[in-house]
Amino acid sequence: MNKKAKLQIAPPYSRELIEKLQAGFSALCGREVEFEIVEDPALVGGFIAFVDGKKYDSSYQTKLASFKAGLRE
Amino acid sequence: MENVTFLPVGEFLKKKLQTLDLKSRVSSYGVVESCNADVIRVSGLRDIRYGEILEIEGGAYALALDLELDGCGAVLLNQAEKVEAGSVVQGTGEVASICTGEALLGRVIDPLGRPLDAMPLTVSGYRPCEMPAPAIMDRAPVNQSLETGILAIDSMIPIGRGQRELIIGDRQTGKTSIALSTILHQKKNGSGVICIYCAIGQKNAALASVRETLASEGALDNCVLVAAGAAETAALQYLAPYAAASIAESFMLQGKDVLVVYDDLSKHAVAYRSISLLLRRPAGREAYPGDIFYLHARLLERAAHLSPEKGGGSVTALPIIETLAGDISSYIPTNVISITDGQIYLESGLFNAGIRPAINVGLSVSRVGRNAQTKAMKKFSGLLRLEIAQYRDLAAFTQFGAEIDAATAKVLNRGAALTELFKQPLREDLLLSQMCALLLAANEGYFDDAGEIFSEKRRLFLEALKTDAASAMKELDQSGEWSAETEKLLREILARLGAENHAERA
Repeated sequence: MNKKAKLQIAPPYSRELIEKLQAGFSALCGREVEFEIVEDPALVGGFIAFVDGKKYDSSYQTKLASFKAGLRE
Repeated sequence: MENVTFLPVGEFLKKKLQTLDLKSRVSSYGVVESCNADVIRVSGLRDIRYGEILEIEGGAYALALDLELDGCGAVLLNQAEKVEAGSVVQGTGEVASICTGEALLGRVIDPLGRPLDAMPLTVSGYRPCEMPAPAIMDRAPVNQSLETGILAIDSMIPIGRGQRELIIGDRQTGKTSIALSTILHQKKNGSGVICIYCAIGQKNAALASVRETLASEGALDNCVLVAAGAAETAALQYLAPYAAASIAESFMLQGKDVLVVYDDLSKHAVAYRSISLLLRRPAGREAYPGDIFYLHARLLERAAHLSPEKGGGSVTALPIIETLAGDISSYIPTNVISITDGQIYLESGLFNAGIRPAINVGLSVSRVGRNAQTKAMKKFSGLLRLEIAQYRDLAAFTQFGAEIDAATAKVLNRGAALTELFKQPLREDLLLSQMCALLLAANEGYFDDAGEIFSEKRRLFLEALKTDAASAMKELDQSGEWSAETEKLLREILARLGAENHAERA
């Protein structure tokens, strides 16, 4: 059964990248995953995937935010 | 300064970049299924705590209050218009907390610690809004008085530090005025008690007026105002008293004495009722949920007087309840009456008759404050309640025009004088010494048959105290002890004033 999932991704991105991510998450979940894609320039780069009740955050936005927080320490 | 070296910016950034965690972050999330007024239902968010703050896509926040197997129910804390079905929800891992610290004094904040007075706020720490009440062994008996400056209260319904004393009455009977007078008195008598005023569901204009009063009387620097106005979400109104209690506790744990006013818990109960109904919890009496008693019990149980080992601080709570048509037997009033250590009952009939503060002595009681009363006040207040009660009974009886004997006439006379004595203009708070002196004067019959010149006699006596007995009065205020010398001095003043008055009349 296909698993509907959401993928927030920063443009530009290629079709190959999406297929690669879909294959990777399908292997992780043990079933085929189909993404609903949302372009989000605010992410700066990278992506956030919402799959199976879990959020996989690999966006530059989050990394830069944690870097900014680290500068204050 | 020449010896101080700074790391070049490039080097600093390189060093920080080496510690940057580039791994993907995995966390669980849920989705908003429905949004009904301020309440949302979320599916798929399983690993959250009760009372956890949830972050909703688009920058809105909610408070998780119903935990279920397949999701949770939560109340929005802000920005309801940005939330829609399908929005992603994540737990923040944090429960609702409030900022603490000395910087809060003189400020107006909301229950999430955001300043409402358009000035930046620097805080020293945070404390969860919901905290367990101090344990039994950490508490000490209530044995130190908290003076209100109101003669009727301090003499007949005394409040002790660590007590919960309910102020109850219809609208426009002076409930907030009593609380405000008590706050202002702490500044006047230099008690060092920190005051927290929590406004729940109040009009912003009313809050502005409270702030203005405190500022104009110079008491604002000693106060923290926590406000969730009528226009705020029900969740913020629900959180407000818990946030105020947490701020009070943070000062109490430093060994300080704190007074917290919850104005008012009727509106708090209404806010919680609307949350509960929207969360589809079973409705009970007057549509309140089953845990409405626990809602106020767990809040007021946080008032305490800590033992010396725990610093000896205290939190005194003055919750306010608004009744409808004087009905103190309805659901929320009876709940809070049974939780608190006494109540000050204000009556609109007395208020309209010009007896202000409009305290009904018969229905007002303080269950623990008597032990905390100063020795001087105890000396005079012993039989006051009885005298007033006897006077009310006899006054009602003699309304029918019955002939009265001399003893009855004396009781009526003294009762009328005491009733007049307990009338106190707004913002004219009295010091302990002034109260004791006035009660001595009443006992000595100085005010009997005063009639229309009562207030003039009272003014003359208070002035004489300032000019002729200043040092004795100061000593009494500091020690709280009544001495034979003070009594002798006051009797002399009373005799002199009595003679002057007699001469004037002749």
